Amino acid sequence: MGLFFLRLTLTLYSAATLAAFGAVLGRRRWWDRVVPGLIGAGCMTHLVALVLKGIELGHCPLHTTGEIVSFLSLAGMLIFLFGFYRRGLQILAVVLLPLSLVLAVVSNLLPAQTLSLEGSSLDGLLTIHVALSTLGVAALFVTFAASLLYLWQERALKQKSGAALLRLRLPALETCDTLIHGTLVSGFLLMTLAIITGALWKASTLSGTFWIWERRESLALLAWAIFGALIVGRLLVGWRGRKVAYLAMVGIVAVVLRMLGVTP
Amino acid sequence: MNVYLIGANHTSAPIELRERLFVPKSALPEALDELKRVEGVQEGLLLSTCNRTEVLTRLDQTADGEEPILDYLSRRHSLPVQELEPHLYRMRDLDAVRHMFRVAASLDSLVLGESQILGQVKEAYLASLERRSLGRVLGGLMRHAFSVAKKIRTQTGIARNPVSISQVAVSLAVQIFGSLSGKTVMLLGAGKMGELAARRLTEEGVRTVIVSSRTLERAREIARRFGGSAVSFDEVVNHFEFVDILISSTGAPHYVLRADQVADLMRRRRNRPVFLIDIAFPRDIDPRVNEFDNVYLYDIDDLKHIVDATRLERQHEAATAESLVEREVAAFSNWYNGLQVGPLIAGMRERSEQVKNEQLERFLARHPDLSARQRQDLETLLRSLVNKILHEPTVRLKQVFAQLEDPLHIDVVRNLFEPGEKMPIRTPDAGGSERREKS
Repeated sequence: MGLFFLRLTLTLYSAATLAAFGAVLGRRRWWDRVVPGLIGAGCMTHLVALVLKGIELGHCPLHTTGEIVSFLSLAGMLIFLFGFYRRGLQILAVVLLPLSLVLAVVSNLLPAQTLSLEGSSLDGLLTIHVALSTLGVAALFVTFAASLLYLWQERALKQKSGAALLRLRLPALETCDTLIHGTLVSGFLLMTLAIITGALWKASTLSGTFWIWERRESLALLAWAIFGALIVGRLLVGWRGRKVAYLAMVGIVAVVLRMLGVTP
Repeated sequence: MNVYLIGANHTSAPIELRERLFVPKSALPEALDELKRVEGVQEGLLLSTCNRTEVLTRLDQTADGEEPILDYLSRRHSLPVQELEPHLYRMRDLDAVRHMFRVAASLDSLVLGESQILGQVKEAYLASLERRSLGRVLGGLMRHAFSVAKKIRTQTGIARNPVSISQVAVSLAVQIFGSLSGKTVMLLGAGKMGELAARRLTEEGVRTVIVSSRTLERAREIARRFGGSAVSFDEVVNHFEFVDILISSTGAPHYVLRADQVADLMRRRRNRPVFLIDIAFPRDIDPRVNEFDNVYLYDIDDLKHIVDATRLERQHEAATAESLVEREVAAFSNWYNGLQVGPLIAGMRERSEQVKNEQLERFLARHPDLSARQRQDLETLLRSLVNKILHEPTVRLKQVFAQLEDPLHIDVVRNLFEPGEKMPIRTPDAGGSERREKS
């Protein structure tokens, strides 16, 4: 039953993504009902699938990487709906919808491996750690989307292909910039807290060390350092624009790779 | 339909004639009253802008052509008919409807897709409403025209893009800054185009305007018009830091803003984006600065290219809009035919009622011995009989009328069902416009 809803969700997300691209490319009436309708339906079935999974497992389905990724794809869709209704940022669809779709697909492919070492039950600290990281990554998704839009808009403005630009109605550069900065700061703070709680948890469960140096952790640290530098650089010398967008995207890719368990 | 349109626009008439035909807003009520007094005029509307003057009327069935309207124009604007006539276009019925739809949707404008005309048409409509010169047909036509214009603006890309250089400048500024409220614009050098762009920007919410010109006096004069401040050329550099949008149009033979100055400026601005518009010739700003991060430099050629590109796009979109207009003209025609079916059905019922009553009276006179109960039953019987017989044709008529296009067919149907005097069926070449008006 859960599998049926998950497949239905994937179908709806795919349809929504296609429809959104169609809407961007000219079928502007699809924004009215079709796109939000498909996404709304997809989110519903997704939620049902998650609840069914939770009932089956007997706990909140946020224990394996696959489950977290699945949750993130739902978050991506909901963030899009928020941006769409409250901020009129339809264009976010171009980035957020395919991203969420890919995450939804990936979540089904990942092995059902629990995060906890030696099969110990998850204690409070780890749950907080997982929740903070998930929220942080969700915020960073928006940073990623806004960065892509910023670069797209910036390129068009520099190349003076104004006509194409005006047709697409991308959000203004400063809107993207504000969005990048705001979500980057929240993502960075959440990530910092997640790293601290993670370290505390390790200290409490394992041999009392706060940090076990694993190669894959270097990805998380790299991302954290990039984000920190970007935020401080903006405050001190006004770093902004193209290079910030590129660097932020590099950091986010590192975070996602780390989350999926890639070892450099 | 008996709808006539006479008009002159930017393609049919030279500006001298359009000027003489122009009816200023203040004179519109009086001009409409005079139009209403013209013989045969049932409804009328006047649309007058700098690019066109159009007289839309519906005449009664006795009217023979639109000559009285022509005389009205000639009389009112003191222009001999011979002088006027070659520059006018005349349209009738659905052609007139189509023309009004196209005008409202800005398909007939000098600048395709511009947005002013719809407002002007609305003003004309309101003025006519006020003078009570609109009836069901023209009122319906105008309301339909507004909905067509709205459909075209939202469903095609014709009105999506800026149509002039100053509008392009504003659109680009919006693409960079989002909201322009609280931004500062500097106008360097005096020039019509620069001033126009600055004006548009202030309309979009730009708050502070700084003006600098070769003489401080000239700068003050321009600044006064924007409620801005004037600075001398030597001081300009000190203000750059606070300027978000710079419009430069000096006559200087060298760069007014060098690359190293801009680099320094961006450091002081802490990289906040700046939009430089160089409409001077020779150019005022070193073109290399466009390669700097967060600096967006557009010269006059860049802006022109965008205007040209959007013009092409608008022409492309116009084709879609034209087919939409055709569909709407057909829809209007259906609506109009539907208007006429009401009186026809009423007449048919009235006639049947009359026949029924006559027959009933005659019958009762011959049978005075019927009881009251029997009389009542008889009358109920007859009434339900008439209703049953008329029900089918009533429904059919409504359907048929909604689909009739050829006026000849309308006449045929009318002769089949209309009580009273038969009217001759016109041959198609005599035109449907001479049909009897029923609404």
